[in-house]
Amino acid sequence: MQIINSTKAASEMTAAQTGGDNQPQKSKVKNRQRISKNVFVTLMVALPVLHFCVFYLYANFSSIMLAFQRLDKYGNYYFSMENFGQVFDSFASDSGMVRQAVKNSLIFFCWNTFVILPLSMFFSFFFYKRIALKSFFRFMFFVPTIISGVAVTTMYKFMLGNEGPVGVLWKLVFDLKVAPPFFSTEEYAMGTLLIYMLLTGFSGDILMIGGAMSRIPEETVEAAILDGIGMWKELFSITLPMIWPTLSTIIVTTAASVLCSSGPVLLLTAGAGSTYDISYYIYDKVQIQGQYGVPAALGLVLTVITFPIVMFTRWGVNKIYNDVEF
Amino acid sequence: MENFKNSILNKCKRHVAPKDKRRGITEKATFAIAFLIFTIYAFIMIYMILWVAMSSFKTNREFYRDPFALPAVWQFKNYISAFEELRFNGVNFIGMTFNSIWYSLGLTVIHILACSATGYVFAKYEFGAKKTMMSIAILAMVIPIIGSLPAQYKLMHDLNLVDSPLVLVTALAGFGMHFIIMKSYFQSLSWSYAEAAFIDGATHFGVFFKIMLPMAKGPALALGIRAFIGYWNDYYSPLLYLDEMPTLSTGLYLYRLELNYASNEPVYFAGVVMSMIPVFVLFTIFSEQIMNNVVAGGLKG
Repeated sequence: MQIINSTKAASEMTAAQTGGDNQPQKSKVKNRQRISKNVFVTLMVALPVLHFCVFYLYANFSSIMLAFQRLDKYGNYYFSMENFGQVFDSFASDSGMVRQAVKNSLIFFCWNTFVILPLSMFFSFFFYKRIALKSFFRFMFFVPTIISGVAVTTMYKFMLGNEGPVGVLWKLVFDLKVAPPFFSTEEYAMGTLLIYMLLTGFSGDILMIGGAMSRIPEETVEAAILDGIGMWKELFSITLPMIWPTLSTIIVTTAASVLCSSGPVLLLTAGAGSTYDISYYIYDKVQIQGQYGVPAALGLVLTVITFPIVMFTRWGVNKIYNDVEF
Repeated sequence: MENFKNSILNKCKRHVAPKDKRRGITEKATFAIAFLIFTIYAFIMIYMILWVAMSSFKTNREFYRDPFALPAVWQFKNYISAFEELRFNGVNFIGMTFNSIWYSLGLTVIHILACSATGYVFAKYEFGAKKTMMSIAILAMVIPIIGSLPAQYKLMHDLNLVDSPLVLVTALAGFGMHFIIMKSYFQSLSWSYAEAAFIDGATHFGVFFKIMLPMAKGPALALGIRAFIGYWNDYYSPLLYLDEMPTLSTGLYLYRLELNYASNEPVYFAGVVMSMIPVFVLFTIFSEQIMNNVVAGGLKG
């Protein structure tokens, strides 16, 4: 609407300069304005739209095609449901890799949503309430994001290694000669991954939630404080409803990645100790084994299953609080 | 009446008092616990970084003999050795740094420009397919696409984007979370500046590049620095698509994977420390901008 007003103003201005009541001239100017606006809009969105068509629409269409294709011994593709058969067989089997990968991805998703996200909200609230050394602590929470995952995992591995502080402490406490293999056995590997995710997973959420909290009008909070509201009441009755659009966005986008939540499996365990998730399983099939059909079929099945879950989550979070304009 | 007056006065006193003075005992205790948790967290992070930095000045023998002791002689030459020893696929540390720079900078500039362009057009212009495109963009964000990696990988090979600077075209994604943030920001900007510029004869491109984009430099810079740090540290995409042109992240990962026990740990740590410095400096300089300029709204439509 704004652009319509401005083009109108600009065209009136031009028309006034060229002799006001000249109708054909006026309509020519209007046409030129409309064309230049359309050209501008088209050029501005052309490349992103083309990118979307190629890397999203075509890639996903191609992924669906791959799920139904198999290679014969002559290197030709033929239509087949065998990829789906393999996926379902692997899921049905107790020792199937797909079943294990789905289970681990769900664990990572739940860990992110029900542990890391709420903690991020509480931590952001303390920063918002200006806890002592706020800037320093906020910077420290960002360190894992600033440093490369390769570097952080290297440090983490050495910390838990036989010569590392955790390894040495573990040996002392449990009277062992060698530190346990934290990254390669079923007993420890998953726990080690979850602790790593906890140590490194706050920064993104803290940034978003903190940004939303900083926009809450101070007079609203001050008025509530004058009414004698406590800290927890402020968090749950004022802060939470007012940052809900941001929080709901994070929840929905996290739900959208429900089964592709990737833990740092590649860098820390490479799937050892039954820690492979969907993301690593697909990476392993494509990059290491050069298989396309089975991971594409698995992706398609999981997309069909998780789509209604995401829609339900989105519907649910929109019901909790109304959007607040401030 | 007197009680009421006192209570109002007390409330007013609380109102003007600094925040921590207003807290009750329970709140103070909660803050103390939070402070303790934050301190432990900060200690773990600082300890990890200092330990790696300190280890990078040791000899390999020293490192394995006593990993916690200070270096007997500080081996600054490890940092020079890193430039020669750390290499993968024929690319040395300088080559990896160069790859990291063009990869991160190129992707960041293209991506932020693409998101700013789409965000601006969707915030300020009315056009036929706007609502449909907006719905598709949001739907694409919430549809859980799983397992499109095989098709993406095949597509990248088919388009000859692998092991080439052309991989930067993948950053043209102008719809996503950054698009939503830029769109919200452009919506908050007044259109009167543009109107004045149009009356002065400015074109649509002129208004965008000379007026609106400079006004949006706060969030664009904040998102840009975050994106740059993300791309600099990204190991997954370069691992898949830039095998012949390793960045620092992938180069260091693959170097370690290849040599494993034969590698010189302190020299490797020297490489890790040097790879952290640029993003650390960048984040330290712009931390306030990053923290204060990122707000995401709800997904509607």
